[in-house]
Amino acid sequence: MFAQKSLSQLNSERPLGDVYFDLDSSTIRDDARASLSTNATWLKRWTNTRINIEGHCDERGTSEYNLGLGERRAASVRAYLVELGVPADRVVIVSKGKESPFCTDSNEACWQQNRRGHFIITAK
Amino acid sequence: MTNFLRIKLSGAVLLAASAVLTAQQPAPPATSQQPTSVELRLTGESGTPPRLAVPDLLALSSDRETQEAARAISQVLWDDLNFEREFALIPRDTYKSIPAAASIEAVPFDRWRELGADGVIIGTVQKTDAGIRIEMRLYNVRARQSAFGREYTGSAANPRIYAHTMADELHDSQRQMRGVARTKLTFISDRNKEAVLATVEKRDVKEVFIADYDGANQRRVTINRTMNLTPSWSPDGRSIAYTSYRTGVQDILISNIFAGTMESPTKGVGQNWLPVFSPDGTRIAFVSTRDGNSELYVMNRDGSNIMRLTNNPAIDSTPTWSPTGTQIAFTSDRRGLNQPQIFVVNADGTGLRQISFESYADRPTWSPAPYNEIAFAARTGPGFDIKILGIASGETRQITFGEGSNESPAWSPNGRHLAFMSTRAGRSQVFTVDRDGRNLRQVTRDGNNTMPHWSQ
Repeated sequence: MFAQKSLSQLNSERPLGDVYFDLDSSTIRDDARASLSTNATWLKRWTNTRINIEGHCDERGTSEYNLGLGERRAASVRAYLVELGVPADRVVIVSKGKESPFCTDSNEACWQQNRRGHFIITAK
Repeated sequence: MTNFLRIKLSGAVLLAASAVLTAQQPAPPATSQQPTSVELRLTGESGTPPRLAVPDLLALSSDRETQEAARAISQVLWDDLNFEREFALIPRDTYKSIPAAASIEAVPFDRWRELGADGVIIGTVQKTDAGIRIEMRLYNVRARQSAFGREYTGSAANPRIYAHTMADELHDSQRQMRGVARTKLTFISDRNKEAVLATVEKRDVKEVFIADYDGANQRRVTINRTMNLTPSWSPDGRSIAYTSYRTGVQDILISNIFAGTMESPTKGVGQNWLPVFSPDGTRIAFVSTRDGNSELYVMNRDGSNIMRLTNNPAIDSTPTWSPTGTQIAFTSDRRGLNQPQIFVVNADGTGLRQISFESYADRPTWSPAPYNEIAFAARTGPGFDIKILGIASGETRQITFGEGSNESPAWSPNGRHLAFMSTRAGRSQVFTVDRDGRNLRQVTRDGNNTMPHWSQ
């Protein structure tokens, strides 16, 4: 089954859950630890997979600083996965700052959606 | 430079290159001759700015193109002169009733005097075999003498360039100042509303655009159908460095907009973003995670001689050069996690000091001489406002006040204006404003437009 799936199919099934952050923070929250633990199990099962982790930010920071904050969020997600035993060389991190939001309204529900570490499988 | 529309094009850059060259004729048009009359400095009464009228130029040919050029040049010239506030421009609709000059010599001075004008710009446009010829004179209304004049010949394709050139030369001659009429803005836009379904993920497309300082001639520079951010002009106005996600992660690209070529100085080593050219154009300051986290670096334009400027676990970001190239201001949250402030460091990495003490400050932009100021975006509430910090005085003043969120200031080359992004019109748009907060103008309207940078 796994072998027959294309990368797009695989990504559309979202086997790797995204994780969310507090405002102006790159600290891994408790709810994120559970998701990352599940993600690490999956990554350790499918050892040929490679992933990008995109760090995203909400609109309440500046565009330029958010490029750094997104990087810091993605890096802290990667560091946590590495702690759980995922080899660092399978993970590329990217910062999208606030430039590629998942939600474009100006309210906390939407902002929370945009403070995210987003997983993309890039090879299998 | 007579053939600025005759361009050699090849390959994939064809669209962008032709657009750019049409819009971006950098030098004055073909000929620029001074008339025989003595040039006099125009003055207003008792120290007030001279009051100036700019009626439609006289079309000496009856074809539509010439007629339109005559009207467009006078309107653009009026706008250019009004922009710098060195003259008090009399609204054009108040002198519709004054008869056009019968020739550039026969000016109805009495009527202009009655209107209260200190000066009037009278000009002619004539079709020629090769394009158009424009002659313009600034008359001192009281002295009934020509105070300044220019003659231009060249292509009729973009008559605005003649107005811009006249405005710059008139400001230089009459007010001893450098105008910005021929400068350009670069910015990021998603106006093409493209989203690309790549192999594994939908990608947002944002491309680098340029426009005249007044928003005319908006053109796309990049055509790579990915996300491109933080464009920055080279000092000679021939190249734009920017952050691109073309390879999937952020890296620095340089587009040479006349040559239609592209350079990749960092060559995909680590992740690199926010490039800015040094004032002499030989070096680029940028941000990179090549050594683990966001730090500031300087490299030669070709990517050689990379030097690390900062070494701190905090985010160091958003560099801007001092006008002499000896110092760099940047953003760092080293004094408080996720509370970025502006710092200054010598270009060799020594002499670090904090200069902003806001709750959150980013995107410093160092003014040209003689002002010695840094403009930046400061958190003032739910959003951001533009503030200006005098480096010598240590005093900060605010020039936007909570109308939308206001970010990413960039100085004009004469230090009299700033371009910035604001959400005050609903979406993200590029605006310009004077250094005192007056003269706000919306430059873009199509799509979301962000991260402006002003050419030198």
